[in-house]
Order: sequence, then structure tokens, then C-alpha cells
Amino acid sequence: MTLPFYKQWIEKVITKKHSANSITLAHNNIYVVPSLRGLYFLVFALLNFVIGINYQNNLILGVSYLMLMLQISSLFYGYFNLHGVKLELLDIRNNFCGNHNEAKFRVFSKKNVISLSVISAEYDSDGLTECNLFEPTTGQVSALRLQQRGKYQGGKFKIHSCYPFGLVNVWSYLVSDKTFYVYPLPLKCPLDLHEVQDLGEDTELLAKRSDSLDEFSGLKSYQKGMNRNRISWRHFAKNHELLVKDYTGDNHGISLTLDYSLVEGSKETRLSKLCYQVLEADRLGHEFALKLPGFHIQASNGEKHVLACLESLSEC
Amino acid sequence: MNVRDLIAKNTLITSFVYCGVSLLLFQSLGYVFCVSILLICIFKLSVSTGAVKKPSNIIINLLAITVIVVVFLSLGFQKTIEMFVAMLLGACSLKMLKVATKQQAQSVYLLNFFTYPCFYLFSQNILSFLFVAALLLLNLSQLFSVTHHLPIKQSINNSVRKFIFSLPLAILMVVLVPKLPPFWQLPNAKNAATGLSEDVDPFQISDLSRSSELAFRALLPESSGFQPPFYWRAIIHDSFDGKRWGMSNLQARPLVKTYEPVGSSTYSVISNPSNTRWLYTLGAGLPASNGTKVNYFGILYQKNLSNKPMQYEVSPIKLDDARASQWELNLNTRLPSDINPKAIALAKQLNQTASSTEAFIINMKAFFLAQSFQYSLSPPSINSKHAIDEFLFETQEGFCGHYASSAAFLMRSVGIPTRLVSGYLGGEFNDESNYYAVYQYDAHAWVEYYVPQLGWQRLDPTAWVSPQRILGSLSDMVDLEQEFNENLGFSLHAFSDIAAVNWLRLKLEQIDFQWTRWVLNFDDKKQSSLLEMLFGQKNKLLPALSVVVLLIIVFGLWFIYLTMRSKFREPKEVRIYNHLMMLSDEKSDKLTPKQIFERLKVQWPSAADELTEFYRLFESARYNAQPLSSHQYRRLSQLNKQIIKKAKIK
Repeated sequence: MTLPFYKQWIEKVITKKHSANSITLAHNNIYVVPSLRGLYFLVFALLNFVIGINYQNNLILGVSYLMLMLQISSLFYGYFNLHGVKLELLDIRNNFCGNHNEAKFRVFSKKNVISLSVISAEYDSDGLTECNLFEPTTGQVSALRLQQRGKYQGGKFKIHSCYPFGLVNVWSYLVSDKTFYVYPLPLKCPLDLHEVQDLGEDTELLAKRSDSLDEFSGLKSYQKGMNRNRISWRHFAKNHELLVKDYTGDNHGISLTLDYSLVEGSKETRLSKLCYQVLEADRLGHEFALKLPGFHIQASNGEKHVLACLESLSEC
Repeated sequence: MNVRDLIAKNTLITSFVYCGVSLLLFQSLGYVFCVSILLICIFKLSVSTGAVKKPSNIIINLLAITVIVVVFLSLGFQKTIEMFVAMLLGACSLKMLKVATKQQAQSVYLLNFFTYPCFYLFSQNILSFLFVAALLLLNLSQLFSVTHHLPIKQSINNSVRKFIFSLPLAILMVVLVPKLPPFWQLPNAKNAATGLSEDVDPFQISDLSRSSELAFRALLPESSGFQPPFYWRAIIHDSFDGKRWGMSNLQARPLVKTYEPVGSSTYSVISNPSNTRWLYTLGAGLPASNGTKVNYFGILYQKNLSNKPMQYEVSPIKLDDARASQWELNLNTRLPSDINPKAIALAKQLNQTASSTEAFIINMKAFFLAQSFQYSLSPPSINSKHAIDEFLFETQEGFCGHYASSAAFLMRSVGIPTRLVSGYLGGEFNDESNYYAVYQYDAHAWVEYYVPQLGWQRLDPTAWVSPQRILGSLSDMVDLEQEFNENLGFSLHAFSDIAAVNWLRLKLEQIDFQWTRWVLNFDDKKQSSLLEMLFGQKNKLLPALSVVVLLIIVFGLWFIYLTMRSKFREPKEVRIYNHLMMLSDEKSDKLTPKQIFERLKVQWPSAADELTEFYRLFESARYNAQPLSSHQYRRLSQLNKQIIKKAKIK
């Protein structure tokens, strides 16, 4: 999509001027113009003017001038409504596709701010629209609705108010460099962890070693793809329950892996399924690795690991 | 507050406003229309209380068609403006039933800025002005309320300031922006119900309905040389059909006679809207301002019927009618045959002993004085073919029309050219503003007769019977007071004998006079004389330019003021604290507020409790993230006052 030259230029200027994660609205970054409604208001003022002149009616003429003055002073009122407001983008929360990502703002203002909206200029968003703020500091949340998984730039937020009377548009921008992820929507499927040996080591050897060297730490329920050597057959004979012996310490190059190539479906389906499995594996406390085309995450566990996996799934 | 509730509440209020506006305009818009608007309003009320289900689109469209039909049937195509305003009000009222979203409500409130001022097409007195101004303010608040989702009360607070800021600027613009001539002619609203009738038929009227409505005001400078009684001529009636005196065909013909000016100065008249175009002239006159013409009799009239008070200037003249053409004399002696035989006999008898017109009139006067004629505002009506006979010899009771009509008949029957004149007699003088106010009840009829070489002369037969009537306004007549007040109905005039009421009435009159003169009739002429006074004669461009410059200056200064205020404005608690500190001798720069308060407690022990509480609030405001509530702020100012009070006592 190519924009006309002047629009490109405007985009460039705005990006240059408003690139920050916090902005204090002042004379050099607030834009004020009459709104469409304001133009209608002026049309009615003109109509009153014509009638006032034709009937030589000073009162109707006065109303027409009054409307003109209201429109002009509205520009000022609108400007001072946003003037001095400080807006800070704290964070944009990652979320799964189909849910919304929340952009959290903090708004500082010494005075009341009426009809403040902060909406993303690039994504479909709502939440912080036409809010009246009567407190000096408030946390506000704008919800961004995105339909496509991926990694996104925080991008351009439009700070807007139609105060007073909706006769004017007063706005400014905040162009953030914060990034956020939209994860694939988890698709329910059986957990499918494969034990994969790390490159350059012998599986047999490791299997033997596992019994002797490591300290036995407990039993886990068997998942498809686990090494059968570690199944506790004793328990199976007793309870008909497949349990796996778990050992602490170095896992000797063997890791449970979620492998993209082993999941069925289209690309998006595969990613959605993997997303579900990542969450499920984390819930069950497994240590796992993630293998994506051209990308591999080492086996690990914990919150950070899950986030890294989800982010790479979004980016894939 | 929920947006939906806000819209529902606002639209209900607006429905009532439409209803009120329609009812106030019922004279122009008709009862049928007003009733239908009232019904729509009741419908809206029952919808909002939940008694009736919200109407569907089909029902609203059906209602719209009904309203259109009602407007067409009750107003017709003649009354274009009335129809237009009625349609507008009807459409807006119906829209109120339908409005559900914020956008719809906003468009209606925008449209109202056009709808409400239409009221000024029908009425422009001070009360109307204030009424519509209040409506516009309410409308602005409602627009604010629905746009910003704030309750109406808060919106009114917010809007009043913006409205009041714009109002003086708008007035300034009305004064300074050059007045343009009308672009094109638009139909006018006919709203005046009162005025003189073009035909005089006194015998049919049994109860002269008198109204205390103002007819016109006149500013008569000393130098114009007019003395009371003031006979304001308006309509000449020269055709008599036995019952009714019809308006002369010459009433709208241009002046063709020669004339000479009388006196050196002009006088001005501000006439209220009337149902006829005929204006009021003392003797004969020429128009000295735009918008008026002069007719064959030297009486001014409007080019187009105006529905607002209009001011006109008259320069008095004397018509040269020493010689009259034969057709004019014939016209003014013409009588239908076979009526009023007794009156004709009487006229002949009176004429026998008279050698001149003057002598005839003296004889006639003697006849009227000898009989027991009575001046009355509610004489018996006469339906007989020989109405004048019956009046002269049987009922002998009547008002100006009866006497003028009878005298004119008597004079015509002996060949004296005579015509009936209707207009106004008298007026109430307002000392403070030096004008005469003439009311509808001052309407009068008299006679003009022709004497060769002398021209047309005035004769008022009513004066023979009721000399008081000539001396002042009808309202001054003691004998008729009760009858007069009964006819007036309820108005301030009816209570004129109570001093306070009369004072109030005269004050209101005066305000209305100034309003009419300076606001409603502020035209290009008045404007240019004002601008000349302000800017000197030479500059034609300066006034127009001054508006722009003035507006730029005002908005510029205002902008600077607001910027400064937002920059330097300290929080409220600091301002209160500084106010308190002005009282103490302590040098506050080197000490923390806490230390200062400790010292103050020593200084003013009686205020120790207040100081402690003050400091506690001040501290929480300054050093806690949480700001004070409005209640706490109020407490802070209250404490401040108490401390200062106690400190001063000490």
C-alpha cells in the first residue's frame, strides 16, 4: 500500500515527533480542528444568519453570532481540556489470539479531563473511550483486538477528546516502541512429548546410566513418546498403571520435545496445538524443549521458558 | 450514569420544551396542532415511565403523516412560516420518541439551535428573548450531557460558563458587524390579532372589546409643536352603505396633492405589529425613514406587513387642499337612499337656521347636548335598517363610532362633504423616557368635513358627549373606570389604581420601550450613526475591521490567561496554606510546615486543635498520593477561617 506523498510526510513527522512511551500534552503536540458535528453547527449558524438578515431580526442574528462564538471558544476549551495531561504507556500485555491485549496507561492530570479516549491508531481497539477523569492519577486500560498471531509493535496510539459539546476534535499521538505478542489460540489436543536424544550421545548408554547413576526422585504418569526403558513395570503389574521413574540431576542429553514436524494439520493448526501442549506441559510440570522449523528452544521449565516458547510460537 | 438513562431523561425534558414552545405559539400555530404536540409529549412521558411500550417505526411514521395532515388542514398554504415552524416542531417532537443512540440525540440538539430561535419570528419582546436564551442554554447543556455522559446538573454548570463567555462577544458582533440588506423577501408570520378594523360598523357591536395591548409609542420632540389632544389618523372611511363605513379606495393611493412642511423637526413612532399595514400620523406627514410610504390622505403605511415592532420617522406637512375636485366632493356626500328618514329630517331642520357649515355644526352640537346622550363602552346593539335613527332617538347610548357615524350621516345628508377617520386618541406620557404610549383601548373614530378654501377640518362629536375622552387616555376616565376594567380582563392595567402595581407597570413599559427602540430596531441607520460616533465619519472600513481585531485580541488574551493559569496554578491546599501563612510573622522559608505549625500552636493556643487538624489534612494532601475529597477541602477552608478568626481575637 503506497500512501500519497503528503500523507507519507505527515506519517514521518508524527512518528518523529511523538515517539515516546510517555507524553505530556502541550501546545506543540496537540492538534485542534472543528469536528464534523461542529461544521453542522456552523451550517445552522449560517442558516440563522440568513434568516436573521432577511427578516432584519436582530435576535436571530444574535443567536447566529453566539453560535459562531461558541464554536470558536470551543477550540480553546478543547485545547485546555487536554493541555497538561501526562500519559504514560506502562505495558502492553501479551495474550492469546482472540482475547485482547491490554495496553496499560497511567494518566496524570491536575484538573478534570473530559471525554478522553486513547485508542490505537493501527489496531482495532476499545476500552478507554470517552472517559471522564476526575482524579489526578489513574490507571487506564485500552484493549487492542487482534485477529492474527504474531509479534507486534506497540505502534501509534491516538489520544482524542471531543470536549466540549463534540464540536471539536482535539487529539495527539503517542508512538510507542514497546512490542507485544499475540499467541496462537490454544487448540485442545493430546500432549505429545517425544524423548529426543541430544546430538552426539548414545541413547543406549544413557539408558543404562540412568538407572545406576542418578538419584531416583519419584514416579510420573506415562506420556506418549517417553522412553519405555524408564517405565516402572513393577507398578504396572500391581495397579495396571503406567508410571515412569523420574530422576533428578542431569538428564544426560535426553529431553522431552514438542516437535512441530510431528504435529498434524496446517501451519496455524499445528502452532495452536503446540501452544496448547506448551501450556499443558507446563501445567503438569514437565521439562520440555520446543522444536520449530529453523528454531529450537532448549529444554527447560518455569515461567520464563513458557513465555519464550509462546513468543517463538507467535513469531513462527 | 448510564448513557441510555441520560438520553432518556434528556429527551423527555426536550419533549416538554417542544410542548411548551408550541403552547406559547398557539395563536400562530393553531389549537389543533398544539393539542397534537401535547399528545405526543404525553405519549413520550408514558413511554419513559414504562406505561406504554416504545413505539415501532411504523407507528412513528403514521404519527408523522398525521401531524403533516393536521398542519396542512389547520394552517393551510397561506401561512408559510407558521407551517414551516409547525412542521419543524412536529418532526422534532416525533424524533424524541425514537431517539435511542447518542448520535441521534446529538443531531437533535444541534438542530434545536435552529428550531428554538424560530420563536423569535413570532415574538421578540424581552420575555421571549429571555425565554429563548434560557432554552438555548438548556439545549447546550443537554448537548454537553449526552456528548460527555455527565448528569444534566453538572452539564448546566459547565455550559453556563461557556455560554456567558460567548454572549458578550455575540452582542458585540451584532453591534459592530455591518448590517446587510435582506437577500430576498421571505413570507412573514402573521401574529398580531389586534389593530384597527378597516370597516367601521359600530351598531353591530354591543360590547367593544378593549385590549390593553400597546398599539404604538411616539417620541414627540418639543420643537415639533404638537399639542394635545393627539389625534392619530390611520384609516379614512369614505363609503357608507347604511350600516358600515368602508375603507376609502384612496387609502393605498400615492399622495398627489401639493403640500408644505410644518415645523422643523420630525417625530418618531415605534409601532407594534398590527393586522393592517396602516400606520399612525398626526395630521398629515411624509415618511422620513425607509420602509414606509405615504398615501393620498397624508397618512403613512407600511410597504409590507411587519411582524415585529417597527420604528418610523414622520416629517409633518400641511396638505394644500383649499380646492377639491368635484369627484372627491361627490364621493364624500354620497349616501344610500331610503334609510334613516328621521335623521334626514333632523338634519334638514338643523340646516334651516344655519347659514354656514360652522353654524350647522353648532346646531348639531346643541342637539346632542340637549338630548341625554351617554358615552358607554357596552351600548345595546342595533340591528334595524335605520340604525342611526334608532341611535339618535331611542337608545342614545354609544361610543365614538356611534357619534362619529351619526354626525357624518347628518352632515352628508345636507350636502357637507364628510368622511369618517379611525385611529387613536390620546396616550400615556412616560416622564422618564419622554414618550407617549398609546394602547389599543385608545382607538377612536372621528369625522373630517370639507370647507372650501379651508380644506378638510377635524370634528370629534364624541367630545360633545364626553369631553373627558378628549383630554386624556380612556384609562383616565373616572366615570367609566369600572366598565373599562371589566372589559380589560386580567392585566396590570386593571390594577392601575394600586400605586405599586402602576409603578411596576410603568417600569416594565419603559424597559420594553428601550428594548424595542435599541435592540429590535437597531438597523443599519442606527448602526452607522453609532459607528460614526465611535470611529469618526471617514472610516468605512474600520468598524468591520475592528470586529476581527477585537475578536483576535479577546481570544488572544484569554488564551494567554488560561495558559498562565494552568502553568502557575498551585494546588488548592497550598493556596489555603499560603493564605494562612500571611497571617503569621514567622519566616516560613527556613522552616518545614510542621515546625511552623508547632510554633503557631504556641502563638495561638486557643486555635491549637484547629491547627492540628489543619496540618493533618495538609500533610495528607501534600505527601500522600491520595488527593483530598471535596468534603475535606471544604473542611480545610473552614478550619482556615476558624484559625484566622481565633488569631484575630487574640
